[in-house]
Amino acid sequence: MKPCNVVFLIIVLGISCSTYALSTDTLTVKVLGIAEDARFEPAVLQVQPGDVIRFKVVEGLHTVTAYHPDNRRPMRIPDKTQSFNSGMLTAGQTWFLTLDKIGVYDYFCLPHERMGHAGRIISGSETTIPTYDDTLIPELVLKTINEAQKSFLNQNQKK
Amino acid sequence: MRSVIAYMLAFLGILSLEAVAQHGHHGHEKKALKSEEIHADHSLYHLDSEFIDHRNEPLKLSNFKGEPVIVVLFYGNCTQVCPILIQDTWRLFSSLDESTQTKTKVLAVSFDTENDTPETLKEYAEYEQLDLPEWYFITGKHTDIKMLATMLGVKYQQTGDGHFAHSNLVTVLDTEGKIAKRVEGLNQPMNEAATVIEAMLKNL
Repeated sequence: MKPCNVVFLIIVLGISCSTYALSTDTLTVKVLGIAEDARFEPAVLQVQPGDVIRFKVVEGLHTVTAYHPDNRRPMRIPDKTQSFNSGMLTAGQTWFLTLDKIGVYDYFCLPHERMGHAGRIISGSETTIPTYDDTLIPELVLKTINEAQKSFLNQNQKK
Repeated sequence: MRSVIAYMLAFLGILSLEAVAQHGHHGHEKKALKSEEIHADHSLYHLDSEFIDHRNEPLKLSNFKGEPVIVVLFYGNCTQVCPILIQDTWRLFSSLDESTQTKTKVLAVSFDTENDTPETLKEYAEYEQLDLPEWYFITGKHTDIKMLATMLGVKYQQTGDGHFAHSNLVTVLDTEGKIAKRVEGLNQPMNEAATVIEAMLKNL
């Protein structure tokens, strides 16, 4: 291969790599509240696979924990997807999550789950929600997620 | 001059109010109490007290003689660290292979003897999906729980708002009831504690 072709190839590869890097985004979910008012904002977030989600704890003590049998909860993330659990996060701390697979990921906060502290990430453009197992999920969690989902869909329709 | 002094006093007043407000804001976050030193040679099975589990069955600690035991102290109404402490205990238990799990017992002991009745603990165990044959959610007399906590080096105290400040400690007991491993703090790696349990069973 001629040297000029090698240079061309390097340039092309460089451009495609930087384009790929630019195509992913970083989105923030704020973790707020200390007890009954504990919440993720936004409670429903749409991302593209590969995007980085930054959970920023503003106040209190929380976790970001997947609805997954590894965390002793029903599966409410796509099949064959690895579970996640941030462990304890305190005010000022940030935790990053990247979801590579398309689908709907429900998660909760271990200390405040009973108070409805939960959220949902939709990875990909599809907004159809799969039928997930509701058994053993606290009513307040279902309420939080369902209401946030409705509001998310309404906002999407307006756009 | 008087007005300057008045302004300065007012400014200092605002500063002190701000400091109080910040203190109050963070006051809900109970500081973990550091655990105390323990005597590793003492067997917990010398504690002859009777406890009661979430199945409403009376039990003594010595019932578990001959098996590795994981002990954690917590309280059910905790909306801060206890759910994470229970999750940490679960991480240790679930990291063991199935055969080791069946030979290991987990005692989750509540120090909120007022609120955590066997019925409440049953609900807690079911909610946390930990109503497993190897898991025992335990309560008892206040003095007996205090004695057990002292032997484990776990400190706890009521904070006056229905909650407790407490140590965050997961302890592994050997087959004789002696403390074989302590994991202090939340989100700690559990591989060393798992190795201790596995080694214990190999040597039986």
